[in-house]
Amino acid sequence: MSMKDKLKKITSEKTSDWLAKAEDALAHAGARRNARKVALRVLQALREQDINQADLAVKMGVSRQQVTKIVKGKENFTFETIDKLEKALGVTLISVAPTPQPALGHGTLIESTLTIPARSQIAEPYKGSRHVFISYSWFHSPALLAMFYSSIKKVSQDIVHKTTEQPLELSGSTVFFDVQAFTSDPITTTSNLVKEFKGADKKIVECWS
Amino acid sequence: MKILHIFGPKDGPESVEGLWAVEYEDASENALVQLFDFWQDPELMVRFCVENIDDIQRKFGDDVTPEEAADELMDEADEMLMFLMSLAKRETSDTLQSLFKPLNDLETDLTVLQLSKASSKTKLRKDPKLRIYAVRINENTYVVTGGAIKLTNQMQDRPHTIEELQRLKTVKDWLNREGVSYPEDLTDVL
Repeated sequence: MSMKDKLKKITSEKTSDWLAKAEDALAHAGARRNARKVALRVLQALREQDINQADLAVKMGVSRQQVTKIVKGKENFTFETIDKLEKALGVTLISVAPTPQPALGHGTLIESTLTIPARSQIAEPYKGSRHVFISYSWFHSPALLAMFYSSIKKVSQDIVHKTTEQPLELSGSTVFFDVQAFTSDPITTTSNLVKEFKGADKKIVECWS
Repeated sequence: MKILHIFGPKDGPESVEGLWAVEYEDASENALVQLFDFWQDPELMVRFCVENIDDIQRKFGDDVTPEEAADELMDEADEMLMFLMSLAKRETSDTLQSLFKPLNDLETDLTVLQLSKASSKTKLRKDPKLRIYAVRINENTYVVTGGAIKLTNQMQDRPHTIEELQRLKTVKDWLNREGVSYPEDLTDVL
């Protein structure tokens, strides 16, 4: 009997849906991550306050099934649900940052080149993802950094809500932002970012997606 | 017990090479789906961290909370998922054989029905905690038996990793009994 026949004999008639599930998970990575963060915060509050999930459901006035979805990171939250959670647990789960007021002149750019690192420089976990990482030198001034975040939002326009608010990772003095996953034209977006963020001489070194 | 083809360089019913997973008796999903369902479930991950808090704090630091550790572990799971997907979609020059290593660190040769492990070890993650366990059938051909959050040096140190070690051996013995142990047979069809 050939190996193919031997394997056929022990192969299930079912089809694995692992690939489909994995693709779905990666396609909704941002939403999943946010739902997970909320789930973990809720679980921590439950543990610290010694409340069980059934009690939380009663406090919130929702079903036990909805609480299960929340702690399993499966809930697609509404502001109403967030509000109920915050009141029931006495914690703040989300907050909207005020518009940053950049204080130009109070900080110093330690590096003035806007770069998109070569693929070989990208950390292994992010390889294979359809993202472009924009690296920018770390600023001495938090206000300047806040202005950079704001600039990303301006040039991203319709993708603003999906652009990372915080650096994905820090590597030495470099900050990585994930932008391209939400724009069809990463080069223009990056170029606009350069124009938008005035105050230093910058250039695009390399771009990949 | 059965196996399912997850992905491989040769898609379709004639495919042998690639990643397979065990479907255990009475299990609703195959071992790989079950594993990622666990790793992507905040409630289950926090429960594991609470139950293993001493090991968790030894690995992550004394001040870490179960939720912080779970968050870190789930990031690692996402990295593993992305890497497997890049293999499935041929977006990398890496292979299953570069991902999976012999379970026994002292083994240097790759052999048939070898107990194997995979982790997301990178420059940024020098001490990965997650493992996927598999039996190697042949070149770039692995059958996933399960996985674990490994927080101790030896699998024999904790019940949940002992269970995974037993699963590996059980699947190896089963494959052996089914005659899936002769590489020359596999070569015939590849």
